[in-house]
Amino acid sequence: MNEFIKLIFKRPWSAAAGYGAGLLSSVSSVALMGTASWFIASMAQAGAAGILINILIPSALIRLLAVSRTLLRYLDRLTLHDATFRIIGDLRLSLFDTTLSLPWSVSSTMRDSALERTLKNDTALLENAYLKELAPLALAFSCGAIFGCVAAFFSLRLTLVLIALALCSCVVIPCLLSVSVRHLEHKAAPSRLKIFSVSHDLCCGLLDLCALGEQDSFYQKIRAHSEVISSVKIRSEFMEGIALSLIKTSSMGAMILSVFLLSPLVIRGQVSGPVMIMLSISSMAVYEALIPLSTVFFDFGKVRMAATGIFRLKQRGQELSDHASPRIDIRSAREIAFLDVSVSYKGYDVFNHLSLTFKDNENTLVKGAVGSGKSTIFLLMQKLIFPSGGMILADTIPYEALNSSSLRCLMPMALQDPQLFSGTLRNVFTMVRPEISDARIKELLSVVELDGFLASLPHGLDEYLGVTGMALSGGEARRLCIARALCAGGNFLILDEPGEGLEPSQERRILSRILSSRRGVIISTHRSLSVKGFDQIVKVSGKKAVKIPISNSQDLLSEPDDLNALSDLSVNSLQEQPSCGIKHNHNSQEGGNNAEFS
Amino acid sequence: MDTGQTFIRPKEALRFWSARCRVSLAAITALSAISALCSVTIYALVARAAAMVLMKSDESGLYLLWFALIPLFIKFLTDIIQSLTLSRMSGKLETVIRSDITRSLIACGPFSKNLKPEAASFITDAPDEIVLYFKSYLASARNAMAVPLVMLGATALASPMIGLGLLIASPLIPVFMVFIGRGAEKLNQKQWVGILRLSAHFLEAIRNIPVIKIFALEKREMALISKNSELWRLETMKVLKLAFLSALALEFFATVGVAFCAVTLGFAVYEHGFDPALALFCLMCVPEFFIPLRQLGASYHARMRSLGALMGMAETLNEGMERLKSSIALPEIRAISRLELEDVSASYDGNRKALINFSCVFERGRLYVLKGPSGCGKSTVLNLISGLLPPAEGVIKADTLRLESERCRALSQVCALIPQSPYIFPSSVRENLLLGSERCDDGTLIAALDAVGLWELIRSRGGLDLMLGDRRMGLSGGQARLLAFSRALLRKSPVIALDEPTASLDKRCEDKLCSLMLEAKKDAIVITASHRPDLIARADRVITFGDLYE
Repeated sequence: MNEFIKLIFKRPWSAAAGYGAGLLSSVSSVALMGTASWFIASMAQAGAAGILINILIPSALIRLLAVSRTLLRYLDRLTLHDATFRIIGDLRLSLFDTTLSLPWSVSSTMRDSALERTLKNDTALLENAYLKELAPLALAFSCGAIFGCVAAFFSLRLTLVLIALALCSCVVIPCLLSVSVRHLEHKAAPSRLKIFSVSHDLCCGLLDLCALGEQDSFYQKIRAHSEVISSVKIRSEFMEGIALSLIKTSSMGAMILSVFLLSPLVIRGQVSGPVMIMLSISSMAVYEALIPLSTVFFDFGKVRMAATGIFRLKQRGQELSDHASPRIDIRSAREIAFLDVSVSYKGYDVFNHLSLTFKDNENTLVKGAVGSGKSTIFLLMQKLIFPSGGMILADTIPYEALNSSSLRCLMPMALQDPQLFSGTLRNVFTMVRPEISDARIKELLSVVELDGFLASLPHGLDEYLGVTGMALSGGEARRLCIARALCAGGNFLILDEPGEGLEPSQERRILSRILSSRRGVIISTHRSLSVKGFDQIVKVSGKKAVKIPISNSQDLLSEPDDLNALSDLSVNSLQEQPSCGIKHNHNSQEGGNNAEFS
Repeated sequence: MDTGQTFIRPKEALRFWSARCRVSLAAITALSAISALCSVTIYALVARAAAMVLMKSDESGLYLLWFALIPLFIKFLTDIIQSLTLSRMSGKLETVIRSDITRSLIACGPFSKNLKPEAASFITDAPDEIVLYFKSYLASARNAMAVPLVMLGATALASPMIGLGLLIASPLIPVFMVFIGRGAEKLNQKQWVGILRLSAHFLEAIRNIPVIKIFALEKREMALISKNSELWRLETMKVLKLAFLSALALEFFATVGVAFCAVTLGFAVYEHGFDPALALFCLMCVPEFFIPLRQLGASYHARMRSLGALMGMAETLNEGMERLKSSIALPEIRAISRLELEDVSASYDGNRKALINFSCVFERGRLYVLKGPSGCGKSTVLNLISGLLPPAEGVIKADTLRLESERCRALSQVCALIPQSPYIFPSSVRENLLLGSERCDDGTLIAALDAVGLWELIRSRGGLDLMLGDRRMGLSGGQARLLAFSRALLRKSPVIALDEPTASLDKRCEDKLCSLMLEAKKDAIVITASHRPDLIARADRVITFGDLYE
């Protein structure tokens, strides 16, 4: 909670301005009513000190107070809101920064919808907390204190009674009422969380749900959660309503009490009549500043949960920051070497004592069955996950000493699951390389055979892609990601299962183009790949991930065509498919170049 | 699904929802009036007692203060009942609104443009905003009808001049509100759209964290989010400035009103011997006259916010409600042995035709493979067959039953579709498998997993209770497809449609899947879209798309 308060001090002047204006405005408001009533009362008594003091000054004061009150109120709200938005805006940014800098192994365990909830809803709750609770709380206490001092000047007994009344109705009882609701809030908390994840699942998985006929059951789930949340809300809003009614009642009660207690003093001549009227009506007017107290205690629980969630995320970020300094920047690397690397994932070993080298003047094929760990090797190379044993070196510099971002620039990668940002087609490339020319983009698109796709777009490179715009098929998205990785440029290029969802002939053509145009390409696949151009073939295999797999084996080949030298491999020829109306471009059909790895 | 009311435009939605709170709102109005009458009584009694002390130093009037406790208590009670009514009304309404929005979203269907992941916030956040329309605006409006009227009456009785002044002042307030309110609607909508934009951006960035890291896009993303956040803050401040400006105007009138009364009454008391008790009474009532009007002004902006939120969802609601309105009773289909598509055309968004004049017959006991380049319509045919996408033209015949357009949705009862990227729900393996089929015991589930070759892997990682994470964390793409396949097998559907089932699978798994499909075709129609030569070789019929689709 200290963190919570500390945030204010980041922008102390705005916060102070807001508070100051608010205080002046509230005080003016009370003073207005006080002066007005005093004015009438003293007019009624008539014959007091003189026209100037008794008539002109009060009436002028009244008008002045009227104007100042409204203007100050406007300023107060503007500054307060502006300050709050800025503070929370900063918080939101720093949270996002924290999320981005978390190591991927940690952030991948967090649910998308939970992260989004923290970044958006919890920060909005905090915003509300500052605006509707913290500031009014400060104002209420200040206003009350000022009025108390003024009243004490005239009658201490009255002040004490009024303070007791105010504390009871504005602090004690709302507090008790909120405590009574707290256990209900606990009941609703899981529903509040679940409704986020279920809604998220509904929107992302609607295709599957409709296909399975389960959309109705999800609807019922959401409805059930909603009902739980609503029933708790009804109770807690009712309690808030009771607190509010109590405060309004005690405002009138304060007025009645003041008249009752001060009348004897007036009769005895200790206090003048107009002063009694002024104090009574002012004591009712002060409650206008105390009304926000009815809601403060009720939101306390929710705000605390939101703040805890936010600050826990921040803390994790600080502990596990990916951006710890100082690290060396690396501009280029000729070689990435794995030395005796062991990696485990959720308690079982993926690799034990893996040793491997990738050179930037060689093209490597990583072959292995599905789930054998090929992607793990790439994640290790990208420093997205960390080995539990052994070392990875880039040109003899160990990975721990290197700056992650500069390292990753050396090896752009196309992931197994294509991930694209919404934006124009041109954006896909300018994001990675801002100065890229249209001609180069078109060149890259033709390498991955998306030039036909480009031609079919009504807006060409400016066509908006994404959920709200043109949708891409799986194969098109994959090829676009390959093109993106190609344009990034680096010593290495990693393509994780590039051929999935593509016709084999298309895959062959695209990969041949890439392999013949550059080196340092690392491609992984689990199927047969009849492409020339590899300098190194790495086989990854192990037992199924049931037991602890022993190890992987690696085979270095000097001659890519001599596949018979590999042990436990069999060579089949790939059956050619009959023509299906699309243009073929055979380029690698000599002899038995097709390798079938078992 | 329960068919509630359906409506077409969002503002009609508001009208429909308002109709549900008619009784509560009437009660709130009545209770406000009673509360106001109680206040008036209290003020009268206190003013009289205080004036007596002031003018005649007479303590005898203090007994009036004891009497004032009765209306005080009644006021307390009416306020409590009013807040109970209000909270119950808004609680129930929130559930109704949320349900209606969820139903519209579902009715939009999986191929709608309006179904983005950000749409989840329509379900989670929008109802809170919309309920404000009823809780804040309509309730304040009722309050503003009852209370000022009572106060006007009371002050007019005490001092006709002040009463007249209030009467003149009162119309000014709604005029101001409407005048300023016009500009607010557009701003509010922009602001709500801004929130959606921010939300969409966050979600996208969170989902794409690996790509952000790999291409070192952190700085760019931070800059973008910073820009969006700043824009949203500016838009919000614009809205608020307008809201506060109108509040300023209202409060100015209110405060000037009080000041005017005070000065006038003071002089009246001094010069014309006006009864001080009445004067004090008027002074106490006048602020109460203005408070509900000021609250109305503030809540007018809650109304704007709600409308903004509603308009932000307008397209989604419109589409959903249109579909719900046109939803018809679907025929029940149990078993099917022959499926024929006759001259079927379909499109996803009404413009680009994804499939034109496609005709084909599928029969039980056969395995069909759809072959062709990506984007040529194979998935569309599968979506048509599974009843998820109604055809724009043409007829689908299920045995002897003729189905056209919306009626084709009935096919989902008999067809199990395995999409290209099946969504694995972030829950346990057991939960995922049980989706769509009746309660099965663990043995059946294990057998299904074993049939596709996943059981060993899942058993080693924790068995049926293994929790899968977001984006099928824990399973590779191929393994996810196998899971979806075993899920479909458990449904025992007469038609099985698979979209690229063997992508991301190695030879061994592919062979297994092929033999499973051959096994399944004995009791069902199996249709699959694929490139794989092995599958094509084993098909009973291959339908090539290159020729049919241009």
